[in-house]
Amino acid sequence: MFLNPGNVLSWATFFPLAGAAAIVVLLAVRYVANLPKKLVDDGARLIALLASGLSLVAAVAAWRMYDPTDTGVQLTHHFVWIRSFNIEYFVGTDGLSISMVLLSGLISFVATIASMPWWSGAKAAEMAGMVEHDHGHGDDAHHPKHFSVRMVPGYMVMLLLLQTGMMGTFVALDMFLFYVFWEVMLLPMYFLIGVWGGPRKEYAAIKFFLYTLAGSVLMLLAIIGIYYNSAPAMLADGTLSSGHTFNIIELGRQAAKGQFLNAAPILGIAFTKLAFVALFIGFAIKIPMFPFHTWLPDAHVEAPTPISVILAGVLLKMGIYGILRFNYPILPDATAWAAHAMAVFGVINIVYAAFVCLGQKDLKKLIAYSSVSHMGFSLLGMAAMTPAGISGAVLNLFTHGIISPMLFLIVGVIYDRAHHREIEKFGGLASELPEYTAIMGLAFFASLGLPGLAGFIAEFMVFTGAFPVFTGYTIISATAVIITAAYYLWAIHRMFLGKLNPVYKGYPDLNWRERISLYPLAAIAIVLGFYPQAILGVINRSLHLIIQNIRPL
Amino acid sequence: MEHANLQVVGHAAEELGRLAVHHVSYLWLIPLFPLVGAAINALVGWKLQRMFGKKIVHRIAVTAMLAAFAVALRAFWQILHLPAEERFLQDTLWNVLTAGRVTVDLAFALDPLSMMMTLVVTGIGTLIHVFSIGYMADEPAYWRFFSYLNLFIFAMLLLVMGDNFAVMFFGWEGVGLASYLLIAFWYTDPEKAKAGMKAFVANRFGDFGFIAGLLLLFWALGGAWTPRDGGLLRNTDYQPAAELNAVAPAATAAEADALAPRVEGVKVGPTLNFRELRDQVVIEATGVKERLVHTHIWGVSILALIGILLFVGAMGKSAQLPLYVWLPDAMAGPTPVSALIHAATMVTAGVYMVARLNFLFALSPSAMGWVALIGAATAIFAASIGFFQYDIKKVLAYSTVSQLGFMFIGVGVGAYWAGTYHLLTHAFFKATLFLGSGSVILGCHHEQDMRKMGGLKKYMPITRWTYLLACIAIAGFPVMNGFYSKDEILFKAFTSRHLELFGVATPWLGPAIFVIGIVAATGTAFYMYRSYYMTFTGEYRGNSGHHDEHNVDPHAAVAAKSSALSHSVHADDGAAHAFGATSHAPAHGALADTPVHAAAVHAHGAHGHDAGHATAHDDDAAHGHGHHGGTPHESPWTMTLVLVLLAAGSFLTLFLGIPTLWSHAAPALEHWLEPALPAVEVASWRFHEVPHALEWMFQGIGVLAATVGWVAARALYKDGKSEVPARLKARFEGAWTVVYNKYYVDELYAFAVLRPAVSFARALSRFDGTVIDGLVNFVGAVGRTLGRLDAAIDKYLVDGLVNAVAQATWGIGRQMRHVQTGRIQTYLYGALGGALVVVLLNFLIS
Amino acid sequence: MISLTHFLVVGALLFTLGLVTVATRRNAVGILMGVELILNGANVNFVAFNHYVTGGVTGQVFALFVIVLAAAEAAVGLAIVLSIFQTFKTIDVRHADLMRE
Repeated sequence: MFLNPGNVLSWATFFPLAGAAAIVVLLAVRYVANLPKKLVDDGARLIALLASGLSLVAAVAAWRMYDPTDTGVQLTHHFVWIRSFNIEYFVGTDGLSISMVLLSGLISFVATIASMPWWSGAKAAEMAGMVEHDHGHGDDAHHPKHFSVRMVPGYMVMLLLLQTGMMGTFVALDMFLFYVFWEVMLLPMYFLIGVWGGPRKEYAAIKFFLYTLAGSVLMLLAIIGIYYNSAPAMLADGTLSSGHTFNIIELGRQAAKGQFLNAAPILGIAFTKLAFVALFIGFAIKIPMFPFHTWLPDAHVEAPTPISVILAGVLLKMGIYGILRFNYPILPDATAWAAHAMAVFGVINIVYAAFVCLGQKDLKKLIAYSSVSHMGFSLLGMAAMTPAGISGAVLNLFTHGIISPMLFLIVGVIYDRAHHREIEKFGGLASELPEYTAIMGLAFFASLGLPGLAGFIAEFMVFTGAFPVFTGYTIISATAVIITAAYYLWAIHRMFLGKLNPVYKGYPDLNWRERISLYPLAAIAIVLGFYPQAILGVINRSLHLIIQNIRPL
Repeated sequence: MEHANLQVVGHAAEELGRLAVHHVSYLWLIPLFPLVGAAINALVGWKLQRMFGKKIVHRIAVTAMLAAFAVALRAFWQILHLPAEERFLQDTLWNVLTAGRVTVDLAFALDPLSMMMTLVVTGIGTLIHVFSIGYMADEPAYWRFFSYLNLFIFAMLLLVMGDNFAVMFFGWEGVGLASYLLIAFWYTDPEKAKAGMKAFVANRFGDFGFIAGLLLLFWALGGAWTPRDGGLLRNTDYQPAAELNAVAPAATAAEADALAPRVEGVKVGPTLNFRELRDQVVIEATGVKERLVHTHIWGVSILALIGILLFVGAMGKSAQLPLYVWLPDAMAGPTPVSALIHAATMVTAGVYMVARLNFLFALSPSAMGWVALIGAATAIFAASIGFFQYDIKKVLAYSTVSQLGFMFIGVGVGAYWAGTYHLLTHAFFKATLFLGSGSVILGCHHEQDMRKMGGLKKYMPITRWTYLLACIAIAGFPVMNGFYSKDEILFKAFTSRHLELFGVATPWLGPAIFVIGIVAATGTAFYMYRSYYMTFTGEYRGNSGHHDEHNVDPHAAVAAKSSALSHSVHADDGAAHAFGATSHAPAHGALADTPVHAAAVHAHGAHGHDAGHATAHDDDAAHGHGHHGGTPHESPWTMTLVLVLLAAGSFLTLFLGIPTLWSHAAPALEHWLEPALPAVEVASWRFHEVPHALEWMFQGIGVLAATVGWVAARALYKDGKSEVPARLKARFEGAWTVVYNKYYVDELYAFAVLRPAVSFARALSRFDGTVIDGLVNFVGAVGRTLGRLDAAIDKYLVDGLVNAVAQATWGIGRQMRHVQTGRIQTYLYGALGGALVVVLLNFLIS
Repeated sequence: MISLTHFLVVGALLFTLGLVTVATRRNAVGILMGVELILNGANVNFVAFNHYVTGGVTGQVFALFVIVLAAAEAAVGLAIVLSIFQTFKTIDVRHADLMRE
């Protein structure tokens, strides 16, 4: 078999990179052989589809190879990379990351599909004789300004680079490697928003980049601090490292023995607390946690649809993932110290963002803020450090990673047709776009936590897990079920129900590209609604192991 | 014994044992059939409807219902042949989730209580599906309607058959979704869409309470809340009982089962499963009951808090004060929906939930007191609003709210079987009333205002008789079922002396509730007969006055492009329909001719899908859809048959509740439900004993109340001749206005909740955009300013120095170039000068 | 008696006159003449020192060389003057300041 447990994660990570390289080669050939632009564009698209498809295949293979009964790190690929600094190439997965690997592969592929201008509704409608072309509205994929036809090879290269960065971040088990992937992910995102984005793209891209970079700097400092306080460890080739180690698993082991408790305090503050806060802020920006969340609405509003999909579906998960990967095992005592604060921030995220959603006028902003609200559940759940809480927190990452891409795709559908996202300006769309309305209803209800759809299970588990530890906070955050229902239903009401606004007459319903990207996610949302154990059964054991080392204060 | 500390010596330890469970493997079929029906109609219904006509759509839906009903009967048959104590069928499909102590199976259970509910849901559900065939015949989105209806039945079955809280909650929210979809079925009318939204959001308030109560219950089972430092938010005083919280967290269902602690073979500790909950609470040896009774949180008995929070959930779903406001608005949905969801089944879910948890509520007289009190308050409050409504469906809606109040009185005072019995009788007579009103509305061409009806008994004899029988039932005359359930509830209310409020014993509450109940019952009789007399007696008033309420007309309201199905446009005023190659049936035009013809048309509910045929009817359709004029007509046989069956059911179910006083045996339903209602054995209270003579007297009072209400209504409204109502209205204009406008509760909510919430949201949104984001931008601006400053320093100081050197060099060179004239002679002066200097130096040095 | 000093005085006068001519004349030809004077001043010295100090013919030979050199120099100098004239249409050296550039 081509994919084996020793390399499957590396393949999943580097297939997109290979695709990006292939596109660069194609570009070089273009200048040599003077190929027509359309051929190169379509070639780049095909390569991107293929590369991220292969990455998805590898991710699914990794999911299948993963043994849920084993709580250790699996599917490792491990060798020494830079010996003088004890840096290793160390990828592997445990229950925490395996669901994220799957999610990352899936959402990347969906985003790649959503980046294609093919199967456009304009053509379909033309064939059906429903839309007159003179009116100009309808599918806008062929509009020269549309992101999916502008500088296609460059876009695809960036998209693939981003995918490599994401997958690498989830599988890296060496701090340095993690940081490299983390930064690799950042840069393409900057270009994707800044070049292919909306009207205020430069502002949004810069804001996103600087904000997250500020976080990474703190993170880097913490990583270096942890490195210099660590003890030597075995390297991949059996030799002892010189002095310190970047190996996350090994650092966790050392931490369990109290390695970092005796580290020299900095400015009179215990090293573990300082390292915790630095790492936490770095990750909290990515979550995004109140009050570091304001880059998100801007980035989402300006980013093209597939980038919003990736941003909401995968990138937001890295904050929580990073905290669970670094802070929890490496700094358990500081984690116990900070648990209460995390819960408070979680509650603020949930309730505050829900109210902000209620006041939004821009559909995409509404959904962006709903992401902020939903990530609060993860914070609350993991702060509780109960088995149900932490499983719920990670399940929430997965389910939100399924639902929010749907929501952003849905916004993209209407934006491509109407060229605006003002909720108030729509009205009665259900009469004109029944299929779209149905899938939108499904996504909205999944997001508002209707039982039988994925979102509810995670919320429920977080509530159940957090309740005995933070009773009052849990009750406060449960009020979000009311607000969430209110803002989603109100949005449905204003956009889809009532009399059809005649402006939107003759709009084509979903086209095949949109169907291909939306229906699989919808199916997963329904299946997970009734059988979340498919995920939980795999991730439970590792997660419960993570919290066992943390003794609540 | 490792769990010795849990052992409490119970005084009645032997009274109740564990539930004997019979595992069967077919229960999942009951909800499956409606689900499949819903899925088929939702996914390909519009295609099927276009290809084969509407017939195929309702055939699929009704077949699914019949199949579910048949399986339910099969289960009933099996349960009937089990000994009373072993009547518990269970069917586990798969493990939904497990993490730590939380484990949820997708599992169904049937005990006598849920069996009764299942039969009601599938049985009455089937009948209402059949009724809808006629009622919705003109609806272009026929497939959508039946899909939603089946979806509702699926969710309702999850609710009643769920083996644990989670599955029940799946159903609980599922019916909310179906209700939302069906209320907003004619979504092009913003008012109707808003009603759906209101229903869902109001229910979410209830769900919040439900979830909070559920979580509290779940964790109360696994430990104790003891007041320690009075911390309100971070609950540091939760003390998990180590032996009840398995140390090792479970990852799979099997592990969870293995890790769960047991006392004498009974699983104890946190659970979401009803049966495990019941076992550990009712079996005294586990000590769970003692622990729960003595646990307090935030100074309140935890059981009271759990009970009240769960009841908040019931308030939402069962439309009790103060969350009832959505139900009257829910009448925006098609009438069969009102009958099925908003009368017979969904709204009784709260009652069902309280009955299902009877053993918990019975332990907390405080919770019981609140349930009964809210029930009584709702009963009389809603009845009073019902007095003056003119919309026939609104009357029935408030009547439903009021009757639900009666049910909560029943389950509140501890007469669980009586409350459940009223649920059953109400399901029959209220479904009859709603469907009767639906028949009237259809017969009067979608007119809902009773002032424009009248004299319909001439035109709609079957509807009239069934409606009258249902009125008799709800008013409480002993010839129909309503008397037996209502009488039992009020009697039990009077004899309950155990209720508490705020932990204070209130023995007067029971009798007080009785009095309120009797007044409400009198009112019920009055407004129901009022609706009957206004509708069916006197002269038909529909032809006079003009009809401007086209917005209540489903045909005009639905400008439906039901999924590319019918692309033709419905003219807004309903005057002209563009019948292209669409599937819209113009049956309504034909309906106006003769009842016989109409019945024939409706019997072929899918008549109009034939495009050619439809065109032939164009003329009829054009004026038929104007809805002006035309006499009322009886509804097609599918509808009247259902009415007759339900009316018959309203009569026959009375035999389930013949009081002990008459027959010297426990009522059949009480006997049947007994195994599912262990409250009586668990509770420490008993109903007050009263002499038989007094019991007779109470029944007499009940009949008297009904008679008073009936006589008053007859005097005021029969044949529409009396001038008294108008005079009374004029005399008490102010009071009438307040009541007619439903005490302005909606306005109050809009003012006190809705607008502040939205303003708050807007404010927060602005806060986020200006302050928080402003902070970020401020940091950015500070950074930029610092950058500029740095750039200035760099430019003027650092770079300035460098430039200064260069400048100096350049300046010097500029000056020096004047020396170089290019004239040899100048240079020669230089050379001479130099030589002179050398010579002079030579002299100077030496 | 005519001593060495007399010759040297004549030589110095010649030299000084020549130098002043070179330094002050604006006419390029005049400057050339001044150069001749300087050279001849030197010649006087050569011959005088040979006769009074060293003896032999070395000084005379040098003087002859200088005369030859002066002839060659005059030829080149006049050619330059011609060139200057062709360029500047004058032989006033104040205008010939191209070397300044």
